Parts: sequence; structure tokens; C-alpha cells
Amino acid sequence: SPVPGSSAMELLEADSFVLQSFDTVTGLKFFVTAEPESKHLDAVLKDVYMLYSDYVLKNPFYELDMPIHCERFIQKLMKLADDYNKRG
Amino acid sequence: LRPFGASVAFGKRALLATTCMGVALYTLHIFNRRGTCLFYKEWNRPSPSRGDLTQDHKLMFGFLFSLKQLVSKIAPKKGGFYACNTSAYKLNYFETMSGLRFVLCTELAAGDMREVLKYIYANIFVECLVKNPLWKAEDPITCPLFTQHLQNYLESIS
Repeated sequence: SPVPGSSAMELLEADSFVLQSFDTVTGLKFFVTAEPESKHLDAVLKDVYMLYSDYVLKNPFYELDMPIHCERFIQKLMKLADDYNKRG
Repeated sequence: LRPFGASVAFGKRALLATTCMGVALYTLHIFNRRGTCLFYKEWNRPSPSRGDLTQDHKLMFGFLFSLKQLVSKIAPKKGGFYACNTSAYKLNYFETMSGLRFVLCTELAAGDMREVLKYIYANIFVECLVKNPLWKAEDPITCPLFTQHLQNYLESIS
């Protein structure tokens, strides 16, 4: 790394997609891939984090570090993605 | 045997701040297909490389190789990657059909440097080296014409 104090990779741009990552303070990592000209992906990632903390962490049946199968979470996630895609 | 990743020493010139379109540049690497670092230049690099430069080059090449593999696996369509950001710098990447890789580290505010890298390849690298009968493909670059043109180009578009 040529500059001091650099974090890990946050954004990767390729010809056919972009990959944005978001690290939480608890060590969780969120990644989203999207079309190249996508905007506000960091806001999307923060929204996903919010959904995660609401529908996964507060779910009493969910065990930490296990794969997530919480239906509500997935529903809300799909809605978020649909809204984002509709907004363009 | 040539030392792996022989870097070119420029003395004071390397310390001159070079900006490109008002954007600060940190380092430039040129690798060939095998991973040999043919060329390395740094300007204004805020944190100097720890330890050996050759280790740095190997690290850079290995990083790019893994990144390319990752990108090819998750890409929905064909195509490579051209940039990657961290919180502190932006790495711009350009690979030619012959496997020559150009890597330019700049500050975050840099725009799309693909055209810059393409220009460096097509108009400086090809003109000064490929068309130079004395240059052999696996050798590190020591041609002063190349370095002069490169410096001129990068300063001229600032």
C-alpha cells in the first residue's frame, strides 16, 4: 500500500460490474455487486445492515455465525433490491 | 541472472510531485506476463515501502492475479477489472492482449484512468520499446527515452 492508514479494499470496478463492500465495526462484511454505473451502493449496504440487525439479530431462533434463512429478512431484502432497481 | 524486479533509480526526479490532471499519482508498475516487474516508478509516496522492493512487486503481482481470478468468477459477462479503491488510494489497472500489465496507484479522487494507461501503452511503451530493436521483451526497462516521454506525458496533462 502506497499510503499509510489504508483499509482493506472497498470498491472494485470491472467492465461488467462493480463490487462494493462494507465492513461493520463488529467484523461483519457486506458485499454487493451491481451494474457498472450504479450509485448510492454504500447507502444500500447500510440499509442491508439495518435490515440484518432488525430481522436477523433480533430473531430469537437465529444463531450467530450460522447461514441466514430468516424469511422476513429475505423478503425485506428483495423489496429493497426491487425498489433500488425501479429507482434506476 | 537478472535480479527479479530491478527498479529504475531516478534520484531527485522521483521525488518531484507529479500530478496528472490535478490528481496525485503514487506509484506505477509495469509487469509482463510472467510476473517480472519491468518498470516501477514512485512519486510522492506517503508511506515508503517496507523492506524489499522486490517483495513489494511480487506482492502486487500476486494480488492482481488473485483479483483477476475472483473477477472472472463473479462477473456476469466477460470483461476484466480496471480499478479498485481502498479508503486511502485507488489502484488503476490495464492489461494488454499480450499479458502486459500496467498498474497505477493514485489518490481516491482520480477519475477513470483507463485512457491514461491506454495512452501510456499505445503511444509511449509501443513507440519507445516495442519498436526499439535493442529492447528484449523480458528485460526490465532502462530506456531513457521511455522514461522521458512518460514523465513528459504525465506532467503535460496536469
